[in-house]
Amino acid sequence: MNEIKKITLALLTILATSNALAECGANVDNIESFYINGMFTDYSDYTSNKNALKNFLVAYLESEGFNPNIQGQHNKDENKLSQIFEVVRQKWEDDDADDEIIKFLNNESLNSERAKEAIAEFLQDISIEYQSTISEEDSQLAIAKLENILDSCSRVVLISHSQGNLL
Amino acid sequence: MKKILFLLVILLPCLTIANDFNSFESYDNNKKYARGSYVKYSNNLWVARHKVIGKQPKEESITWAKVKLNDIREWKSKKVYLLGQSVSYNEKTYFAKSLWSIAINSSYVNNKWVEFSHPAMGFDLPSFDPEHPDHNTIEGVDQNENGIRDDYEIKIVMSDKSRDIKELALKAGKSYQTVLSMKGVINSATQEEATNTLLALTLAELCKRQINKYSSSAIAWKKSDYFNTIDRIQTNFSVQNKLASLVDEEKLESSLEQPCASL
Repeated sequence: MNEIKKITLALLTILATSNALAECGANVDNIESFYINGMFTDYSDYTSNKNALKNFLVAYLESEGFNPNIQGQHNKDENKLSQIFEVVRQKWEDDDADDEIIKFLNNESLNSERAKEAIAEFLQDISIEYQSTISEEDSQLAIAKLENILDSCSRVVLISHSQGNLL
Repeated sequence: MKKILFLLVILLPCLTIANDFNSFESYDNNKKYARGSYVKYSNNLWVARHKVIGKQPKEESITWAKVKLNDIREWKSKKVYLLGQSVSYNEKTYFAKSLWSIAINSSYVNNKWVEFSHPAMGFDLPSFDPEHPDHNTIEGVDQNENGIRDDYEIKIVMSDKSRDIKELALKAGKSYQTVLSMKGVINSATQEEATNTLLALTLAELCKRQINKYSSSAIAWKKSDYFNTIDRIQTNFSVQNKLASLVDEEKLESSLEQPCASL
């Protein structure tokens, strides 16, 4: 009786392993993309960026084996953001910040020399917080998702922006 | 010579000049205004109901009538029009500056009607009271209670953007205001509320990008016109972060086609 159990268990193990290997084999040519945003990117901007990357993959890279359904992790970095806002609030006690800083914090493009000067000065003020790595919670979530993709034997292209590089 | 003068006297009343809002005279607190005088003040046009000096135009004033900008109907010959009422006729817009019963298609149209154009035509332009104590709060002031903060709404409808972009910008404004108004109740938000709110915000962002990318001349609205103080920016981040922990990501990402039409 015990021998029958052992044989059944061995057969199931072989079956499961061969299925996993078959799945791994099928995925080995897949290329998955994984996006992590930088600082001052709210969730709607993160989703919009991801959507833009998806459209790019569909237009140019799907035929090269890229899966257009890009995955990702929103780097919300709440603790760092609240520290930065504390610095910002001390700088502008009356909440009347420079228009260029308001645009920068809203993740909007800045082109003029005046804007560059204002942002350079602002980044100096927040440099300690701004150069820090993303939070442990966001990092752990991102790593877990990445491992999940890697376990399926797919190859992964990591697309990270600014602070998102510091995983 | 006499014939020319005669023709001028006959024809001049028939000529009306379309006045752009910016070309109207601004209100002067030291000037005496006769009944039927009209001025621009606080983004609106106003007609004096009687002789006045030193009284600023304001809502529900017995001295000044505000020119109507929305719900403008076609002119009707038998209808009585009060000062400040607006009509359309032959694809032009006019406001009444007197109570005289003068047909809009008569030679004496200028004695009753003033042709005008206004960037906020067709919109419910809120009055802006700079002294209002709530201007600096997170939610700000929404005098016409349409779910959009007044300073943003005025900036959008008074801009030279096309009507379509203005309407989209106002829809985006509603989604921005929803975020700010959720600050106090964010802990009781449901997954459906989180998904719908983040969907509206993402559609607004994608629509804005689409306008800026594909239109050669049009420029969309700016999110920084809504999240325009440190407190409002921080509230936007903290509320969106909380909503992101509840969101149905699959549903959100599958609903992003045609963002401007879906907004």
